[in-house]
Amino acid sequence: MASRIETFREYMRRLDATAGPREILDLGLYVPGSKRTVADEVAGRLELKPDSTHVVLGGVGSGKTTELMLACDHLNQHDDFGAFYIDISKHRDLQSLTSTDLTNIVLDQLEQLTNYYRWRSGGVNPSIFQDCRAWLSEDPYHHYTNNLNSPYEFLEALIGELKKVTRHIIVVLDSLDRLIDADQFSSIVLDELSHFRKHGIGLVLTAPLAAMYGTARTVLDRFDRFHYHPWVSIELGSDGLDFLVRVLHARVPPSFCPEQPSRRLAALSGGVLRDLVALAQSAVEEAYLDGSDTLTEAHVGIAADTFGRKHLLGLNPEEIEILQRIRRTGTFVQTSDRDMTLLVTRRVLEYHNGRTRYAVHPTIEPLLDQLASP
Amino acid sequence: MNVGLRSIGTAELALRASNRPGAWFVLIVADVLAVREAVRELVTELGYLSEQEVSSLETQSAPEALAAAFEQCPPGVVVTHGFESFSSQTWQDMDLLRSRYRRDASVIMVMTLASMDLLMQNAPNLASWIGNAWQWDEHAHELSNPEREQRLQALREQFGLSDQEVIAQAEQGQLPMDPEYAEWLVLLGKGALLDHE
Repeated sequence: MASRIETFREYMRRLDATAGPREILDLGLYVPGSKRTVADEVAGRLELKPDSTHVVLGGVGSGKTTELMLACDHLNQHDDFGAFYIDISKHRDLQSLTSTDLTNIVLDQLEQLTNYYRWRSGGVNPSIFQDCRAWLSEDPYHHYTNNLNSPYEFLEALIGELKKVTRHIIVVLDSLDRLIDADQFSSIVLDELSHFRKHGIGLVLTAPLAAMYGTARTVLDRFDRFHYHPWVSIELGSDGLDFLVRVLHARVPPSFCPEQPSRRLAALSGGVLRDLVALAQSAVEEAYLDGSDTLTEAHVGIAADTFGRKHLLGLNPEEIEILQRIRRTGTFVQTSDRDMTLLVTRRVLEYHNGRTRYAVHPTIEPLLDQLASP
Repeated sequence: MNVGLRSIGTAELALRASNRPGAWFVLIVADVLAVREAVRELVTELGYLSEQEVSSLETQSAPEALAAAFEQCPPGVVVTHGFESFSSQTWQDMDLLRSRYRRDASVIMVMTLASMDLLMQNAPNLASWIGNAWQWDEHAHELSNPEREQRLQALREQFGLSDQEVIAQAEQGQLPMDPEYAEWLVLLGKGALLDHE
């Protein structure tokens, strides 16, 4: 039988808010929502039209990457699909990323990810891959067999070979949502979009949240489909709280985390999945230090207070006033970069459940109330 | 805006960090001089508690170099500092590199409040990884005698052992790995016995 510390350490491991989505999926901790997910939408539409282009938007910590990986897994269940997930930020500094860099990264990853039996035995010309690898690594000693002189020519040749093995190639590009503004995103992506379309490659990528607002929204029109991955609505009458409790109980048992503290954690997360997991881990830690063998609302309260105090840092008086107004009236109009920052940093949460609704993050609500009190 | 962070001592923060895989913590200190003192104490405390090597990394205002250093660090808690030289742009750059900072063990960032404000304004992806932030209480370890006795009594009741039994187990190298035992020995003034484990 596991000791108390071993049991708690296992809970902590399962509540790691920084854990990679692949790890979460492999551990079986993913809980699908009751409605059609972004993964279902993207995979379903690519099944019907494999050369379509899709852009996915959603807040930080909403679970976008998990949905992208699930879409890839879903498509790869078909023999005639090859879907490849690529995290751009792991291969290049996004600050200095150019459109050509993007294609080079796709080339590099396609060459690496297909370097095994399934792909290299289906009558493909191995020299294309060898030339591609040598060109990317700027190997001065390689003897090039094929007359290919640009990333776009290599892309066309590589895709041509891969399509001898499988009919449909899908590339999923993640992390571009971290770019600060939609203009930077546009300048990098839109040039390359035409090349991917020309070669019949299906494309899915994430975009900055700013692309949803104002004139920046026109960039979304360049894609076949736009998918928004919202925060989970925790409004009364929605099934959001039930869903979040299921997410929690997939990681820690109800015997340890009973219904009341579980629903309290769900409500305090504001429907932000990463915050749910982080708050839960913090509450479990309080339970451990308290010598308790179950989670209580008191532990949740301490975790939420600590989280909320951290979450209010970095705000100026004007931003505090905006938050107070949202708290009083529920209204929020994005007219400036400052307003966008409040959304991106999850101080303001936007919900889409039949209507658009705004709220401040639940963990800062009592603290804002304190600030407003005379 | 600071509504007042909760305070924490290095010993308690080290205990939390050693038990929370993957978690990111921020310790707010008064000034740059306090950063080095806090880092030194944290590394010492973590050394008592952690089964793995503890790493201390200074940023040198270079997020890319810091990311490379993270990737080369041995498994174990990382204590990182040197954020006072970060501008808004530097934090934005660090935010873009977030995937490369991912670790299985926890990370503690030690910085001033001004640095934390800039992080929250400019690095939303990194900020979403930060579970908790505390104000450093550099006197937290200075328990009064009644406070020390109260804590020792709580440990005796929790584990059903006397102080003499714990000391004997430590001398024989048979003390369990639970971090509370390390705290117990320190409270008894027998921290040197931790080297036996």
